[in-house]
Amino acid sequence: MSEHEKTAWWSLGSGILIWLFLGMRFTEDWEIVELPPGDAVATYVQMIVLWIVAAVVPSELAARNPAQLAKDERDHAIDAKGDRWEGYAVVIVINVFVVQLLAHEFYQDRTASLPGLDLGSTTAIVFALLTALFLGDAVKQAVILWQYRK
Amino acid sequence: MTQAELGERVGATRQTIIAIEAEKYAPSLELAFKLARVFALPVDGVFQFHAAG
Repeated sequence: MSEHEKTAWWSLGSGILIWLFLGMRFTEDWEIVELPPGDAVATYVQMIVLWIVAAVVPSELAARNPAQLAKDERDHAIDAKGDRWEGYAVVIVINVFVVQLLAHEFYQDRTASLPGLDLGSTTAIVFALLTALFLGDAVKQAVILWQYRK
Repeated sequence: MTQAELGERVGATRQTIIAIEAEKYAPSLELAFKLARVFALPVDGVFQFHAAG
């Protein structure tokens, strides 16, 4: 397994763990709870720190063998494909949120019959947007791993 | 010549050379010319074009 594949596995795993951390803070039994603003900001800062640590660790480990870090044209092509699919995933998820919000606005008197994504609070919107980012990154890493293995 | 040595000579990784040999990756024109030069062959002496469909 190349260093690039190991990095993709690491990014996928650490991204899922950080998203689960967010889920633990923003939800109870996977129902979104309204956090006090201070707690929400603290959780966001903790997430940023975790994300930076998760990004730095593999590059520090790989720096011990810089020759294996070099990317050639196939690596760049695979990265570009991952970026493209990440974009698709984020666009789709954001549009799901937008349609959900518009549907709730449009069908105000019948919202109980709509499938549930309650984006009615700041915590919910923050969690939803961060979930879109994490999902996009997970799709990117999965596509990269699939491209290396196919 | 090993795959790693060939990769080093053309600026590609061993994994890329393996993928090209297995026809799982189509190299750029630049890389194709570099590979052909290593073997002292014309590009169509190393690669064949198979039209899809």
